[in-house]
Amino acid sequence: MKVKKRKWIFLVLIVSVLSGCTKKQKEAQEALRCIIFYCNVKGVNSTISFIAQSLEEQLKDEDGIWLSTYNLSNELYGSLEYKVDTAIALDMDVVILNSTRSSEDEVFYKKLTQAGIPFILVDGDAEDTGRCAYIGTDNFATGKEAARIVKEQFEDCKVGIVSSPIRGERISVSRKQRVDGFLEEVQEQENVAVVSECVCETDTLAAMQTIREFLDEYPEINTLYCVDSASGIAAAKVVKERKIEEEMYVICFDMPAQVEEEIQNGTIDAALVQDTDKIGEACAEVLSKLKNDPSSIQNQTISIDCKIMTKESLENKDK
Amino acid sequence: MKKKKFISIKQKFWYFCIYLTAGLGLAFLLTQAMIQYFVSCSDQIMKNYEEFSGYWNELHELDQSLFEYAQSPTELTKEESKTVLESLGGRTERLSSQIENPIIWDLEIITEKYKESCLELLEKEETNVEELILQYQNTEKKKELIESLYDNFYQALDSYLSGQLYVLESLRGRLNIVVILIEVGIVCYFIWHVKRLSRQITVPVQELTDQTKEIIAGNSHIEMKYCDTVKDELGILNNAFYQMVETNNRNFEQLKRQSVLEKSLADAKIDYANLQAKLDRIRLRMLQSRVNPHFMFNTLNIIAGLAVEEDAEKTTQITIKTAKYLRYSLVSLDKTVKLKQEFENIQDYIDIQKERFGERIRAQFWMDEKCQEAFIPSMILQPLCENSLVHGMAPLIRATSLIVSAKERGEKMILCVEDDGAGMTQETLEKVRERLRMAEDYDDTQGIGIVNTYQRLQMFFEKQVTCMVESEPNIRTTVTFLMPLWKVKGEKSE
Repeated sequence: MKVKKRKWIFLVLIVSVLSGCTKKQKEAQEALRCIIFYCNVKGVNSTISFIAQSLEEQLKDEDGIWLSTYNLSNELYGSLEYKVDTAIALDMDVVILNSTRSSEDEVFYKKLTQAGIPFILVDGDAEDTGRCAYIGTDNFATGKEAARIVKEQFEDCKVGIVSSPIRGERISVSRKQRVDGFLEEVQEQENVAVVSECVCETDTLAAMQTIREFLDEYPEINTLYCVDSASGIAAAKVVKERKIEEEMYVICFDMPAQVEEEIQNGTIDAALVQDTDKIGEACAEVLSKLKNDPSSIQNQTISIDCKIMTKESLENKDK
Repeated sequence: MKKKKFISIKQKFWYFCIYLTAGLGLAFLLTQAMIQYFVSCSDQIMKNYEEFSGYWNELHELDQSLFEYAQSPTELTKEESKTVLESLGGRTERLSSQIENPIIWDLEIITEKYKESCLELLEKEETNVEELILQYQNTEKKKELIESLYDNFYQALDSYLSGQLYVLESLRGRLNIVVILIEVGIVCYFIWHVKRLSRQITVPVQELTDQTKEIIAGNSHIEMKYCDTVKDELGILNNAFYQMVETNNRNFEQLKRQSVLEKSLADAKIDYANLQAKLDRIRLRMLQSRVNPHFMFNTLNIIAGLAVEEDAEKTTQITIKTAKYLRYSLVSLDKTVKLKQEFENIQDYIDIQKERFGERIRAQFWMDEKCQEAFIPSMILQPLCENSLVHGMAPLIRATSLIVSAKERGEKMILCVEDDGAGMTQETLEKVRERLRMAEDYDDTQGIGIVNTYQRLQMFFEKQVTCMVESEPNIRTTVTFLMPLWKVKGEKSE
């Protein structure tokens, strides 16, 4: 009797193990396969890498969605074309990309659409590309938020707008939106006036020289509104060089390690940063919806509020 | 209490050896199983690395082979390529089944596509080199794509296997602790078991030895416990020893009691012998004294006859009373008589003595009615009255009184002889009292009459007699005996 019982237990165990394996295989067949690429330039983590980390964290316990995170350490493979080809070659169900909205890239978006692979854009939107969703900061609204911060700093704010080009473009769409939002908000503020705009180089030293000249030309400027991190870093170095930290208010976008350092030094007063954790959460939600119904999300924009990082908030974060 | 199963010491040692072997075997098997498990896991990890490394080697080999095939297609190259292709597919399958990581599964998918592309090249019917090279370039693109993702594939594999290694390491650490704990547990168990076993053997032996030493030293009152639950030979030995000691103790106690009894018997025999000797002496004395009364009695009868012949009435009366007294003393000596007989006899004695002392003697006799029938030894009163006459009245010129009385006091009788003669000095009185005290322990038949009488009464009434002597010079002397009132002759325990 006992032997029979043991046999049964043994059989049940085998069946459970086998069914577990089968379940796993079935899961593998039914799972939503998703790919995200990120590229850390010179060891500096990009926004999308933080989003990828956040997304991985979100999907850690999600068996139905498999996220393949590819680090394209070689900049040669950082092109949209490569990413698209890879996603197609890997038969992915969803691709998460960061858009630059270059006209050259449109063909690749089309290629994805033709391959029937929906794509989610983060850290930069491209509205008319057939994207499934854009999850990121509303740059226009963030520009307005920057203006509201600036107006609190001085009774008479004289603002100089500084930006740097990206991939040869004089100013990207997202940066333009930041400027537009800022200008719109400024119109309603009596104590804030935009003196002039300046486009500096991506290279820090060259950008510093441009900013020096810009400040020499407009000595009344007491606020520098830098629409990207590269121009923000250059502006911070000039401010430090001229020892005008108290007289000059510097606000910029994004927070790579250098910006964080300048905030700690007090040369950059505030940085408007994308909330990558929330973007990751939103991405996970979108993927979950796509898994249940691939056609449920079409051309959707999900705005995430930006974070304002100051010296105090960094100190609090450290604590 | 439930009787435990008997397990001999030999069996216990056998069981211990079996347990020890089983425990060590278990520990050995456990350790071996652990080692085997970790070795197999490590092997699997290394195998995965080898699979991955082999995959890239074969990828290059295949590419080379395909290039050669595109340049000059031969069956050999084709077969070689197919073999490598199969091996490549097998490797990715094995890897993706072992490693749960989306990127490794991506590798399998992309390899599958590459395989399809390669097969397309290899199965192409056309032998146009340009066409084949074009197809080869297509496969090469795919290969380059795979190669471009090498870092990611390797990182995915490495992070997964490193994680597994880490888990394995931490598991090994934990299992090592568990194994150490089990081993310590086994060692502790065996130490405990050995200690228990040795205690089971040595403690009873030690106890038995100690108890034996005690017995040898002469202490028979050792405390031993009877083992109800006999478990082994030592239990049997203990119980046997316990029973032996118990039997010894019982025998010892019995012997002790017997010895006490024997001693008391011996004492009783000695007492009896002393008593017998005393009695013999009394009898002897009585026999000696009996010789004279007989002679005297016969002589007195002759005198009484002569006095009658000579009409000497007073002499006749005295002689008859003397003969009557002598007859009484002769017949009743060593016998029990009633008190009234003794009183009659003493009256005769006083009458005789009156002839000597004349009217100087005033004798009174009275007794309670209940005392008349009381039994006493004969010739008890005579020595007492003689004492009164000889020591109390003779030295005096004046008349003296003698009172002999018997009073009943419940179960007792008070016999009293009182005179108002010369009396005794304090010194003499103390000597008499001392002799009376001594008479309780020593034979004093050679002494004074009062002591003699006291001894006789004590013998007769089984030491239930109290004697009191009081005297004041020239005033009074009183001798009182308090004794049981026996109205039946046979009341005496003899």
